[in-house]
Amino acid sequence: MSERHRRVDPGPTPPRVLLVDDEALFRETLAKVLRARGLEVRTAGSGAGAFDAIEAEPADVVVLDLKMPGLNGLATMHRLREIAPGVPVIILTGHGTVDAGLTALDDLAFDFLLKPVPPDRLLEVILAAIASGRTPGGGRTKGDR
Amino acid sequence: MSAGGANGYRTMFRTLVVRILAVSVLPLLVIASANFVLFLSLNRSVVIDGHRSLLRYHRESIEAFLASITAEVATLAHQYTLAELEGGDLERVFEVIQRQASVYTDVGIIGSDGEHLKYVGPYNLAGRNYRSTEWFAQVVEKGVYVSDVFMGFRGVPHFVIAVKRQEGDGFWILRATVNTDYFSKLVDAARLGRTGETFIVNRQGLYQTRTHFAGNLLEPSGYPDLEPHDGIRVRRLEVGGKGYFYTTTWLAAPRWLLISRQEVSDAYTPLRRAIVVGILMSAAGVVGAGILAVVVARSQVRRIKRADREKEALTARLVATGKTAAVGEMSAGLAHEINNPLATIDTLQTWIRDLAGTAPIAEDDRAEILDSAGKIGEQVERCKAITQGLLKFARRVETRPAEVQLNDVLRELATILRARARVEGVELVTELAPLPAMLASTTHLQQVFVNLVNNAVDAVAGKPDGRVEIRSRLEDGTIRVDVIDNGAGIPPENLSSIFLPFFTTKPVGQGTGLGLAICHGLIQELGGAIGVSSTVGEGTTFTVTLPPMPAGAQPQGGTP
Repeated sequence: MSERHRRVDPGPTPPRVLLVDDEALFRETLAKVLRARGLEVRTAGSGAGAFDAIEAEPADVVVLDLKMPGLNGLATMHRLREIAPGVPVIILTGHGTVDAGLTALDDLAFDFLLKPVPPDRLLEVILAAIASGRTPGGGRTKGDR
Repeated sequence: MSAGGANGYRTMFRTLVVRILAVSVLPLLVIASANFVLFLSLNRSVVIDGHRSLLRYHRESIEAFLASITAEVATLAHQYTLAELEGGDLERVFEVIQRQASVYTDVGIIGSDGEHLKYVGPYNLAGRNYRSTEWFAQVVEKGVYVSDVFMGFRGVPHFVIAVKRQEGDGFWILRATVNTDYFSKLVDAARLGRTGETFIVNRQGLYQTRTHFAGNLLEPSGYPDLEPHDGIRVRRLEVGGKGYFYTTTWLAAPRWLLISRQEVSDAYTPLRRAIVVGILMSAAGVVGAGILAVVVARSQVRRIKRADREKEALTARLVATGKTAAVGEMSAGLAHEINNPLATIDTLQTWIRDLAGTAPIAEDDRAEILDSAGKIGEQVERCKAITQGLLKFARRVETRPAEVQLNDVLRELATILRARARVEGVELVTELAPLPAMLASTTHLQQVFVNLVNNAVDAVAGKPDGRVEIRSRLEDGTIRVDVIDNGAGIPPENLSSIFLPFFTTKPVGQGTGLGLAICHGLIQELGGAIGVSSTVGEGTTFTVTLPPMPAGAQPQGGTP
């Protein structure tokens, strides 16, 4: 594990990440780590919180937990598709059954990551997701796996 | 196999042997004893009948002989005149009657006054007077007379045939002495066995012929039954502490008793031999049945043992499968619960390192903090390996089956693993026979065989002649792969547990105990089986059997 972590080139606008996870300590620590790497990170503790956040201000990518009280990750993802179409969603969950992962990917998640994922690895996936979202036609469509 | 099981097989073996012996030997013994009894009774009568018929024929031949020599002497007496015989014809007559056999010892002419007128023979008897002898009186009275054996003037036991010839007013007597040895031989010609002999006693019970064992000529025989009787009698007598069969019959003339005797034990010798042969054959039958019983019982017990072992293995597999399923469900939940805090810990340690990287603190402290946080990260990685293992074990990792050449998969992974094996000083060799294609997920196959080969390499790592072999072949339409190492082997008590989840013999932190459980689960999903045989000190062989792709089967879906 490298001691000098990777920083994102700030550019004109830093990438905006919405981090949705019901576990506050994990969520807020990860937010700090990602911010330290040059991302603009907002957090939400539930599906409902995520909708509010994205309506208040758009995001370039959503990092979403699957298992949350209230609306679960998959339902949240479906709703996000409607509110913010074209925003890639990365599933980051401890409940990483492949069934869940396949379902998530079928439902157009950009990637499916199983906790624990080193933050620097997550950063790479986030950047890749944003890059795909910015490329015209780069967004994934159903069945394209 | 437990000690109780081994005892059980021993008891089973014994019971089988006893039963087989019972059904084979008992009838044999019953038949043998029945034969024995029947044979014994038959044989007694056969022995006695044999003695009877022998003596009947023998009596006839002896009577015929006596009749013929009597007739011969009588004929001679009537063919010649006294003058002719005295004149020299007696010598010729003796020659004639002796020409065939030495039936007679001598011949002589006695005058009516008892004077021995002429004698031809070995003794010096000429001039003797027989007027006062018993036989002379008898022949004068009867005309023809066959005497008993007596000593006479010669002092040697003999008997005579005498014929009275009337000539003119007077008479003379032609007397021939019968060769006692010849007659004894003739009588004794009918012998039975080793101790059998036939002889003649007169009415006083004195021996009239020579015997081998019974007694000398003219000695009293001591035979108790000297009353003439008709037919043939058989009786058993004790003589000199020995049992004898005495078969007796009276001759018509002279009234002599013809006796044939044989020791009872000798008479029964053929019987005894037959009994010994019978016993030996029965014994051989019993021994044969015994050998058969042991052989049959052993093979039966072996078959039962094999069936039991197969059943045990099947039960163990079923138990393992049940455990696998239960533990699988549990482990999936466990993994999920652990993954979340692990993620938090990992993120926190990342944040700590971020902060330590820039914080205004002593460089020594910075280094310490970075190092410690880094170690937390390593421990998280370790935990992650376990939870991911658990999840794989829970068989939620799915890849899609496709047509695969197993040998390609094996060759590829051998190439990759050979590098690691070389580092450990282990020789990794493959021996791959042509195989049909199979329908499976390449990932699954890799997972299984990487695991098995890695385990094998671990087993021989550091051993001077460490060697791991991967062998594939088609056997009875089934694909079979052996992963063989020459390591320390697995103790029998561990063999049954190695496919269970969390079973590991590796030091803490070096194995999750899930590798073989995962292999087991994956192989089962592929419709195959995995087995292990191991000898402590010699090595271990894991055997994977997999079904080939059914003819005409199409892989489902595309490649992942």
